[in-house]
Amino acid sequence: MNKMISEKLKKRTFIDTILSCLFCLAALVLSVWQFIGYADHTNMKEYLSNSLCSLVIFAELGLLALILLEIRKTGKPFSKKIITKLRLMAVILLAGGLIPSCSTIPVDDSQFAVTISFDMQNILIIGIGVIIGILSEVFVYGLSLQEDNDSIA
Amino acid sequence: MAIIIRLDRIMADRKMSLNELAEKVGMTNVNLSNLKTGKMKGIRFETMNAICEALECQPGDLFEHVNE
Repeated sequence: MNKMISEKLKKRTFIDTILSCLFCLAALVLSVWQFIGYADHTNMKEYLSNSLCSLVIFAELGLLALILLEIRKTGKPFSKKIITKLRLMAVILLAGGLIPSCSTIPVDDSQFAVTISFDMQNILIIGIGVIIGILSEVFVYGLSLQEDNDSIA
Repeated sequence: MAIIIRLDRIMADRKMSLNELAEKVGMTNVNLSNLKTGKMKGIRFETMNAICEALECQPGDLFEHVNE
């Protein structure tokens, strides 16, 4: 790939890398905080649901940060490592879309009713997972084009 | 491939080293070496123009077609 394009790409991804790393850490803190909340109040199932959702967000942002770091290191957006990470992102999102949202309603002093529901948010998350999966296939084509371009003097 | 690049012959005629040509053309040694040994799939007009200017030759001097 052209050196100038690589350098521009490295500069462009600088802020994105920092932001994704920061948001990733924030998601991890949120996830741990929610899990501690669940450990303290085991009856409140929404803590567990929120913790798992935060964990999915952490994994997504972590993978995004790794992808951006890879781009910054090599200066190339198309590589087998990036494609693998994109596919992993898609699988995690598809699995994350299956996490139901819980809400606990106190019936009396000692009893709680837990409602589990799948709503449009779950479908939206699965949809984003499918889109990222398709995007990874676009990157496969991009990689083959890049390899082809690199073999032209 | 039936088209052979004769860069080594012209470089020897002009007594120019690979490093010297790479510097004049603005290519890396590795890329120029790959081009010389026929490992590249193709060549851009831009690169060919730079090589012809550096070696003071015609594009036709760089290539030869042989029947396989």
